[in-house]
Amino acid sequence: MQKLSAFAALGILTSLAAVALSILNLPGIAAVLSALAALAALLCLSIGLSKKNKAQTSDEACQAPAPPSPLVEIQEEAPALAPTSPSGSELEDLLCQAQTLSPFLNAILAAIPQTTEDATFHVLEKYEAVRDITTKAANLARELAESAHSEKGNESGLIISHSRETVQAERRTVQAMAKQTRDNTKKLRLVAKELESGLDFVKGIEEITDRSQLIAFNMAIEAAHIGEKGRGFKVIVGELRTLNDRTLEFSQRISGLFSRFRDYTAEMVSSMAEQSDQAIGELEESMAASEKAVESLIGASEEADNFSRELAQDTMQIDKALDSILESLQFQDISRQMVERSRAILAEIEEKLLSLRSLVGHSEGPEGERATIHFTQTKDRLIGKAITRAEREAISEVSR
Amino acid sequence: MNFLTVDDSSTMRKIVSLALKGAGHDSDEAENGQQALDALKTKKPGCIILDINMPVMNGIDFLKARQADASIKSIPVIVLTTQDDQALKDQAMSLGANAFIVKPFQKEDILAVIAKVTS
Repeated sequence: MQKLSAFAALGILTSLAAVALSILNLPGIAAVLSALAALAALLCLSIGLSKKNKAQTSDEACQAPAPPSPLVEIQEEAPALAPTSPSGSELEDLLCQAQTLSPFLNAILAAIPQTTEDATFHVLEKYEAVRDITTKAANLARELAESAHSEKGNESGLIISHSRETVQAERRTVQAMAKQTRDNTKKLRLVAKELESGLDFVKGIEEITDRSQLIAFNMAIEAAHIGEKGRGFKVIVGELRTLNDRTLEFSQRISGLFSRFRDYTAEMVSSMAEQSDQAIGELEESMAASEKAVESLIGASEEADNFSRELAQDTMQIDKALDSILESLQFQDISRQMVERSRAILAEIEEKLLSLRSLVGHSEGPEGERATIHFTQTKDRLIGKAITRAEREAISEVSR
Repeated sequence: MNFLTVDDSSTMRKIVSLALKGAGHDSDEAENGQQALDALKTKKPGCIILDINMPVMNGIDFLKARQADASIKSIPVIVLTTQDDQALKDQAMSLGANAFIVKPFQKEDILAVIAKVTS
């Protein structure tokens, strides 16, 4: 009954693991565990069938196609082996059970094929490699995220954390520059206006000069009318005309200079406005790109952080799945070893039963005593060969 | 750390090896106590994982041989067996085993024992 429970538990465990692995998209391993679950179910079914068939006679059981459960059957038939009253028919029954058990155990061993186990290990190794890569990727992502958010950490962390501030400072500087340029342009426009005023002033001088020339001309006429007395006056008029000419020449030169200066200022104002607008526009575009790059870098680091968390969760799930598979494989291996040992013990039981059968007809007297001694020796040797406590108890139970 | 896994079951050796590899260790293998003694002549691992029931030379005999050999006596041994038997455990520990784990084992448990034994 304990074995039935153990195999049932194994079946349930492996079935659950198979379902879990199917959910985790691991159909290969799930298939292996499903096979193991099927094997456990087969064992449970066999044990159940053997208990159901126990009411049948030994001959019927021997001929029955359904595989009996050897350990349960042997335990139930054990009292028949009592050395004080060995019965020929009971020994025959037991021998029959033992002979039926051998192919059953062979079938169990065949149901745990080495190739399936090898395939499982192959998948596990790949799985391990994937887990290693996942772990490395998670570590890299976490390092990137940590460096991105680091205040004191490495250089890249500082660059990223300061880049946003730097770009914002640059933007403020460029905005100040743009304002300064606009102010300078305004001032240059005022200078241009002043130059226009200067030109007007020069025009005023020219008008005064023209009128002065006209006065000088009239004075020259009046000097001619007064004759000899106006000679001195003629000299003054001549000086006045010379002064007028020089004033005119000077004012024209000043006017030309002012005009060129005004044209140059106007051109400079226009050029400065145009070029500064273009330069500021380009700077702003560049800064917008920098800001975008910094933001995307920060965003990338945040994504890396999230990614590393997701990878860490995936790695944990992989680890759990690996542990579950390793545990299932251990159960399978332990079960196989137990079956192999049971098969060896059974072979010896079968051999000894055959020798006991020859003695059973002489249970009275010296032959009966020899049979009892032989049986006890066989039992002790089998117990000595048993490895687990369960095996020792089973053999003791059988030979009680 | 390098380990030597001694077990007659190739499946169990692979399982132990995978569990150790997952924790960043590597493992050499031997099928029985005698093979382990031969392997230890050329390479000294940081720890030995030892099964008890093996052909040729079982785990108990290996522990006796280890105790008698000064060159390998100090290598920690973790017994990993299906036999949940207090008398066997006492015997193994008296022969110098550092820990006793019953199969099937949990990876966390064996790694914790390794950390304790090798620290």
